[in-house]
Amino acid sequence: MLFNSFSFLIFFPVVTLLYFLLPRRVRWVWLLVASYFFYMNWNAEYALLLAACTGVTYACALGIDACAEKRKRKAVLVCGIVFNVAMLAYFKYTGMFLDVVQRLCDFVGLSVQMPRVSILLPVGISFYVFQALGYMIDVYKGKTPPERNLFKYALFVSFFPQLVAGPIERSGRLLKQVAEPHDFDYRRVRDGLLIMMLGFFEKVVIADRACMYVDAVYRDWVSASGAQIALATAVFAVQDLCDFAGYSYIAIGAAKVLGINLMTNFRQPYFAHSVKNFWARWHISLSTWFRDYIYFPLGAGRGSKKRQAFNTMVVYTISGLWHGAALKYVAWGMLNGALQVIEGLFPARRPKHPRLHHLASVLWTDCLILVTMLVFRAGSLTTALRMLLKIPTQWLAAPAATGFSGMQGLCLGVCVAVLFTIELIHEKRRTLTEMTDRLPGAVRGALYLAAVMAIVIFGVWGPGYSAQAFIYFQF
Amino acid sequence: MKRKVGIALWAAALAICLLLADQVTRRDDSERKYGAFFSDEQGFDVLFLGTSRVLDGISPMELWRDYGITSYNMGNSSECLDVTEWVLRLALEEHTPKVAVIDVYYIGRRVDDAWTYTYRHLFLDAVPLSPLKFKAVSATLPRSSYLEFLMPFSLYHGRWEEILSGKTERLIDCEPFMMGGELRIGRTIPEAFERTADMNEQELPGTQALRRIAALCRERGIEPVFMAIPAPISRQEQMDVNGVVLVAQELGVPFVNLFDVEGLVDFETDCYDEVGHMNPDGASKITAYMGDWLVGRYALEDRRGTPGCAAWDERLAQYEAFRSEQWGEMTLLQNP
Repeated sequence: MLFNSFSFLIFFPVVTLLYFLLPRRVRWVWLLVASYFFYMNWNAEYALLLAACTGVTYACALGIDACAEKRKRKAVLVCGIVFNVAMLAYFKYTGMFLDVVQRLCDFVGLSVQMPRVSILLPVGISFYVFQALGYMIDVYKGKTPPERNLFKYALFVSFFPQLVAGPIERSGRLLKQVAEPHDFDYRRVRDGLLIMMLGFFEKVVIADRACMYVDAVYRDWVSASGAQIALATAVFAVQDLCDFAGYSYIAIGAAKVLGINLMTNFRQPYFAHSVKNFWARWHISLSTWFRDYIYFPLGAGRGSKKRQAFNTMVVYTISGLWHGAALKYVAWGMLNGALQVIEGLFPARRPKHPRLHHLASVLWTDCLILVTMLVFRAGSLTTALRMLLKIPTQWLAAPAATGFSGMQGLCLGVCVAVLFTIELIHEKRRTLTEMTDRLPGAVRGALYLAAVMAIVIFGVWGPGYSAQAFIYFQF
Repeated sequence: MKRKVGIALWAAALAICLLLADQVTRRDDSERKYGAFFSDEQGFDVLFLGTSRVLDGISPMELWRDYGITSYNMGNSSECLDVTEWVLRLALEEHTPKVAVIDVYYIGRRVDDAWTYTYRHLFLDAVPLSPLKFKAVSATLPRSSYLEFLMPFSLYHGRWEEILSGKTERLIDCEPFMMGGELRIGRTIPEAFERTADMNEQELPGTQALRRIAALCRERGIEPVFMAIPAPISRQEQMDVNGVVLVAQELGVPFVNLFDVEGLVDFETDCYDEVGHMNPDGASKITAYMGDWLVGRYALEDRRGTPGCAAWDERLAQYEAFRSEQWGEMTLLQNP
């Protein structure tokens, strides 16, 4: 079930209403049932994987807690990690692995035909596996006590707002919250709904509209001009942010309505002044997961410059692999790592004009991020390199037809301007609710109403109307 | 308390805004074609149902002008008989005519969602939401289409671009005063075809629907009539249409097969397009024939001049002005 589906618009109010109507002691049970229903709505069979991940990490955490000997504790932890990583690897990386082996065989001239497999990737597996692994490691490190109640733990792993696309929560924050009953609080519910509304705006009005232009240019990049590729990449950067951050906002807002606070996942990433700073603002729950469970155990920034660079490269290569099962994602991750390593070679100095320097740093960082975005979005690494080359060499070539009308472009431009304003407000450490709370009630209500209507009318949702299709059917 | 009132007011304002947005973004073809049917309070003597053959071939305003019969043309393009059955069921929720004339041209066709998608919207978007409408949608459309047919706003909300640019394409040449009929201005000589009297005696995809339609009409005290309008169709299609006589005999329903009426239509002058849809001249001939036939067979009252029918005269004036302007201009262009 997608957040931007009609099913969710029915599911969420029903779940919320019943949550507050049910006796307090069974509310978490209702959330567990709703979460599994939410997941099974996509593919009922794959709920078994979710249950398996839950069962294994639950048992391992109890096993770790029960063992006094460090070696045994570690063995149990490793078993849990191997099981989960193997499950993730099988479902997500089998195809990629066979493809790489095939290419290698072809390269060295071996006539080996690797089998072609088609494994349906379980929705959200990368998210819930990481969340469960984080819990197990926290128990191992003694940061969090193991949860004795299997079903409460199952709710922690499967909590529906953040189940399929994060934020990847920590047990210390979420486990206690989901198990506790939360009462209806008007202000909190309203704030949650407003956050959800911002998420819907980013997802259905901006991301899904930007997608039309980006897809058209990237699909036919051979005919596109350099300027079009550059513009499409910039639009993709907006799309990627709005798609992911929009989903996170909906998740955070939905959880807030239910009384549960999830972590902030995006913090104005395009206002970052360095690539390192960008990653401190983009998909924060994943970045901090890598920091806490891979980067720190590797030694983090300690040791020689070479060792630090190695640690960074390891983390970002794994991050690339996490984002997708293809070599281009690995390259994308390595590129992000390499940019941070290079940044580290030039220590910051006190600038003469701090503001100007900051602005230039932000713009420079955005340019670097756009290059990484192009690699991320292109069909393959080779295509990405060709597209990059085409930007300066064919900047003014005749543009390709995209089918994206001027009116749609205007709509997208206005929405991006609105988004930029919102991001600026957030960057100043203020929230939209704080600002609207200062307005008279009637004005605030009218503003909310206008926002809902804008999402409903300008959002890309539903079956979609095409006059051309209609006219075609006349004949 | 103040907060509760505020929330209630806000919810009411949202509902009003959504309704307004629905009205603004909705295509008006549906309203132009069927709006008068669903807003009419007096009822109709005759309903014509079926495909584009009846849509272009019958003019309710000319039936009114020449016979005083109040009728509505429910015909719609690419409508197979399973769908016609549901159109009739939904129409009967609003009005109970004396006679229902069913075009049998699509007797051999099955429901084809891809092809009829647009025209299903044309009809269903005008039908008020009701349990029967839900049944009609679920019986004739795939599950993935339920939402857009029950709540057309889910389809049309994205029309803002078309509305703002003012480039609205019309789906059908129908004005509200035509009572569902269409005036297609043009003259084309269609492809030649050979008439056959052979018939297909087998059960066809629409045969069961004809039986259900006849039963439904009788249940409601309505006289069913089957009708076929001449067109340059294939030998197989003619055989399918001719075969309706068998099911008509079985059900005791009259079958007016206009293919058999010698010289009724002149295909050299009476068609709008190459597949033989009627232009206004052709429609006038078919309408006149059906008017004579209906008046001769059923006790249909001549309502002209009766107190409650002034609106029909107003519509007729509009229709005649429109027809003479549009069709007269066309005729002048072709015969200066």
